[in-house]
Amino acid sequence: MKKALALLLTLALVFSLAACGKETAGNTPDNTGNDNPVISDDGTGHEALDNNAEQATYIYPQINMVEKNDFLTLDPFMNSAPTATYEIYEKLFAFSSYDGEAGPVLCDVNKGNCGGYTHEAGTGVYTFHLCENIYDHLGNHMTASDVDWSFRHYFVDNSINSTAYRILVTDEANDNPGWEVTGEYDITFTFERELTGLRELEQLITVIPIICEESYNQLDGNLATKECGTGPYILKEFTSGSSTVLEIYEDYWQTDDSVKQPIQYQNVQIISYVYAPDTNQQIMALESGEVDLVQDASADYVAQYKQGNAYGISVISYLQSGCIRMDANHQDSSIFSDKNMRLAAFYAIDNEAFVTAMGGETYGLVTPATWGVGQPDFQQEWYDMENYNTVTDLELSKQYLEAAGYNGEEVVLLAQTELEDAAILVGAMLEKAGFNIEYAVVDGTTNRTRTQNGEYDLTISNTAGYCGGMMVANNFSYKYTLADGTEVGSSFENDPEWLDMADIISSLDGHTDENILKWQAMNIEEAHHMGIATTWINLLVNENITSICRNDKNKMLPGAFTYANPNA
Amino acid sequence: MARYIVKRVIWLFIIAVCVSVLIFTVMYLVPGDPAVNALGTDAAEEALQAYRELYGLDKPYLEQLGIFLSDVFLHFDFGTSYFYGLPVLSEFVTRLPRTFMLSIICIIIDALLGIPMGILAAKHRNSVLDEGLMVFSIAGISIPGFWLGLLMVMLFTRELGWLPAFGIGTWKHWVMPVIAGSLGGLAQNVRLTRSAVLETLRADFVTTARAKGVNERSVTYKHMLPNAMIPVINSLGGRLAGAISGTVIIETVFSFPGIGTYLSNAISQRDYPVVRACVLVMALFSSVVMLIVDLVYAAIDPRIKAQYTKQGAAFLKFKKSKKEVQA
Repeated sequence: MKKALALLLTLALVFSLAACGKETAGNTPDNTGNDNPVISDDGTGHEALDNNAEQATYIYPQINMVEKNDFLTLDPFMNSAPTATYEIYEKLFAFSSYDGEAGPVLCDVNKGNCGGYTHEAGTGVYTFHLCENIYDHLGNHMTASDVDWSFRHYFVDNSINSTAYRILVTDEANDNPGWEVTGEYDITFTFERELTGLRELEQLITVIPIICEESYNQLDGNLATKECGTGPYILKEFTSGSSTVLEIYEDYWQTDDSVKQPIQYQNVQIISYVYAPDTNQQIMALESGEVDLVQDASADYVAQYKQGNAYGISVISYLQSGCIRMDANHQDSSIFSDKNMRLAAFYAIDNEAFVTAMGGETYGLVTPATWGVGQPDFQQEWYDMENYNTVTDLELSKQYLEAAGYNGEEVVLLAQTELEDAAILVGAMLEKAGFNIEYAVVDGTTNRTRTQNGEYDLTISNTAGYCGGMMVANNFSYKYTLADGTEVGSSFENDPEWLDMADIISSLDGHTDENILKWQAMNIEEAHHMGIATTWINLLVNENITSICRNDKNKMLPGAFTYANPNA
Repeated sequence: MARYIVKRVIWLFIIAVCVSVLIFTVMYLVPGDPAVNALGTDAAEEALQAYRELYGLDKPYLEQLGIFLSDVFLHFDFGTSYFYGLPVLSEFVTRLPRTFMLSIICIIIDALLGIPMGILAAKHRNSVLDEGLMVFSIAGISIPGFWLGLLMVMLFTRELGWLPAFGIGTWKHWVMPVIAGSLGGLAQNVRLTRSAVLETLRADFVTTARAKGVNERSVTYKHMLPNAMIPVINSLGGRLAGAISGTVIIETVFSFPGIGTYLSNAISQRDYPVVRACVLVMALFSSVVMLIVDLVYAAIDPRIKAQYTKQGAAFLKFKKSKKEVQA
């Protein structure tokens, strides 16, 4: 009897599992939103992203966003500030699209010789002109003294990795932090020199949220659960660790649509954010209609939804501007200080096989010069180059190994957990060439620590993407100074010429195609870094979302999305 | 009895200190820099250093430990979250009731359904009902809560659209976490109650009661159950002791904003003050609940109470030595 019941129960479980995991792709009509704008097709089968946000006349009732990071505070001054704060608080300038330029938000575009600020060429003096009609959600009027207060408040607990901040002309004796209020709506920043680096100024003025001091005092400094922003959305409800609900602010100060930045649009009435870290869980909620957008879906899901589905879900894809890359440890303590070892490893990697094995939907080929076509510094000339980024040659790899005198020493391949699959694939390719691989797949924090301490031989990492030509500047601006005073690169490359060139192309004047090409040629010549694959970001969205908008930090701005009217 | 309580309270304090030192040391030794985690890899070295100074991370181990112990035990201050900049205690206080509520509902369901089902199974031993309940019980114990949770999300959220997949807010948000969190304990209670009742059924005092002509209802509820319930209460006490630490996985599966998700996120973010506070409070809570359970035992069972009283202990010692002499 007991056995029969057990058998029955087992069968019930099996059938329920089978029913829950039913395949939806291909067996239902395609209702994936054919109205979605498709800008171009690059031959990869991915639909390109429409990032041309527009102020819509139709206001969508509600969008439910899902967040991977827990949100315990709404404090915009914290590094851990959740995405919702981008819709509540405003900055002097803001990036409202990933590849665009920063535009004035609180600053008045009609004032100053630079559209919101005044700057005389050759000087380090920049004066920002605030709009005169800014009122926050508590009804307080914003003036330049609030900008001064916000900047001071920010730097109490925060730091900013901006050259501009470091070269402010300060005078501690007179309590001058490098900026001063020069008029009711004007604030002047003085730097040691004219800002010539890529985004030097933007990194300062697009990061710090501006709030009214009076409002801050009214809230007794509690920005964790209350808000006093000036943005297009106000806080309706906040449940720590679970959800945040925003609503259109009807008395929004910026009423002139012609000067609004996309980040100031109000295309949806209510924005609800919920916390759910697991992608599979998010997708089930998307299918049930509980949420409207999921990021970072796996290749399987993307392929499935591209073929059509019964849930009314569309796929929007765009290339990440960074890529997965492999770096070798150049320190003397690693056998990869030998260039032959680096070349042996790089020629052992089959990029095409890698992309195919990873499913193709979330990975694409890199160009012959390390970076993918989605990155800002991409150069057409790179297509004509032939090197280890595109050529796989096991025989050549073995020859380099022999030249290096490699005798099967253990090679530590370091990667963080999110890149475990990539690391295993790369490791298998290296083993095929004769390397003795010891895998070290660790969490993000441990990965950072081990990388900084040089506790690896090869490392797989995901290069961060930056907009506005910041790719090189950000990814290769980290330098370590060793105990003997030597300055080395991010993988301990002791190559002063190459590092100097990185500095040159990180400057406004030196950021030329000629210099970028030269720098990349040096990179390949010395086998410093290797691109493995570029990555696609695939968004699974409710079909009523017709275009999305994200900022330079890859944060979604649902207020600037465009939506289809389901009743139309 | 008072002496026993004082002794247990002293032990409680010693446990708290030991757990504090242990968790502090473990977190200190775990690789990873909270400053880098909070400010990002591209933060300037001066900024990182300033951050470390702000939170005292640049101080030697013993000094940091001393400050931590002093803050916790003298000022009841668990510090500020490195990642969110909020006092740990305030977030803890916000989340504790949610986790506690989830656990208590699970325990109540375990008890309210598990005990009667166990009694039913025992009373109808070897019947279809008994066999069915035992299969349910084995399945309930064998199915991991997180797996059941995922299956439920697939069925009730994706396929049927009846229940939300995560979060809190309405009663619907609680249904799946409660089912997933209580099934294991419920199944265990069924088995435990069944075996305890079966054992009591054969006890001499039950036979005597029946021989005296006591009706079956009184035999069950007055004689059998109070004795059969001791191991069940013990089990429920254990469950209660783990009330705030036992829901980590369920909370994670359903993104339930309780202590469990707070702790698991803090571990991955190297948010030391949060991890220390969570572990310490969990350990203290378990110890206090176990102390209360022991005292309740003593109150309801004279044999246990006798062990804690001076005269009782002497009597038991006397009985034991007498037995040894006789042997």
